[in-house]
Amino acid sequence: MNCHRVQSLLSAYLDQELSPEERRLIRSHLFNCAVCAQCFEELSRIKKYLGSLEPPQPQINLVDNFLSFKLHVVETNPWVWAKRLALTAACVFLFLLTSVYLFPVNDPHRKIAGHEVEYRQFHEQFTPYQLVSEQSSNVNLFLQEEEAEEKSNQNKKKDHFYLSLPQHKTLIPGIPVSSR
Amino acid sequence: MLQSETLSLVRTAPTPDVLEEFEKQVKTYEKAFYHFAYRLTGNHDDAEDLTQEALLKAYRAFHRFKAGTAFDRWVYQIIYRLFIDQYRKKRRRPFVASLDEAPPHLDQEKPKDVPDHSKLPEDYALRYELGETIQKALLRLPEEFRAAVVLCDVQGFSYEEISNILQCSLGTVRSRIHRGRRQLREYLHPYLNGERGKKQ
Repeated sequence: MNCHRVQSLLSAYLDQELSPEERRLIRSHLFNCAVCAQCFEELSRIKKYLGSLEPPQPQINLVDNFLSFKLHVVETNPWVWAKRLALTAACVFLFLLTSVYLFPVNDPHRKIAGHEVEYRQFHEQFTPYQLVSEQSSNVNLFLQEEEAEEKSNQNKKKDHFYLSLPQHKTLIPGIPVSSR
Repeated sequence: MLQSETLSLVRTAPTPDVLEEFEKQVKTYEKAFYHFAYRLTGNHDDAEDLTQEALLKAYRAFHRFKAGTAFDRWVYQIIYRLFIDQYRKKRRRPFVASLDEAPPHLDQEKPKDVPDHSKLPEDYALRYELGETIQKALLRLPEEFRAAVVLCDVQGFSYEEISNILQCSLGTVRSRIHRGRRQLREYLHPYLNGERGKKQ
């Protein structure tokens, strides 16, 4: 046995946790090797010091303190549990409520996307965007024409109405009634 | 954690016999548990908290404790596990200290707590100083080594018992004790070779 091996087993030798054969080998090595013997001496001194440490006294009576704490826990905790359960239930309810509003099931964008897909299937020669833009431009022109016609008709009606009234009864905005 | 504790405490309503048995067991080993917790933590406050918490946990699981097996080893195991958990938590938390207070290692061993077995004040002072130095050296060890060394040298358990308490193999116990003592030897070198060490 070399010194390195012996020194790794010295602690176990000190605690008498080695086989009789190992103990015999180490004992004979210690008899011949001053370095390992010194190491063994120091380790045994450490063991002696640790074994002679004075046990500290607790500042409080551990058993009594423990019993009072235990009783306190038994008395108070069921209510704490109930409160926590109620709070959790409330949180879950709020979450469900907000999630319905934030993420509605009948999403209009989904429908549009669906239509676009169908459209693409029947008109493959055009992209859906081209078709949509063409259609929308035609429709807009048509709508603009219609609106302009309606406006001109309304203006005509207004003119006809105001012109048919007698001149002195028409009220001109911005001019006080007394000065007329 | 607290909820489950509460429920189990309420559900398993302690019969007077169980409580009496538990108290009896605790009173037998109370000082040894506290000594172990103190050597692990290095101060009275943490040692008290650790012991109290371990006792509460032991009480909660006392119905699972098999009569005839070693009660002390079972509680040592709980203390060790709790200590490892707390130590890991503390390591993640930044250390905050007040500038008005003395550093924790200076006022841990209070003179009134040390029984005076010697007649000479010099011996008392020497023992007190050595106790302080050893405790400081113990605190410098990694927590696994510290627990193994304390269980072996302070509490006097065999390697097999320590392997049961720490839930590791015999080889691991042997290695931890060896490496722990080797580190202690380095830290306590002046005491081991100087005059102080020889007097002891």
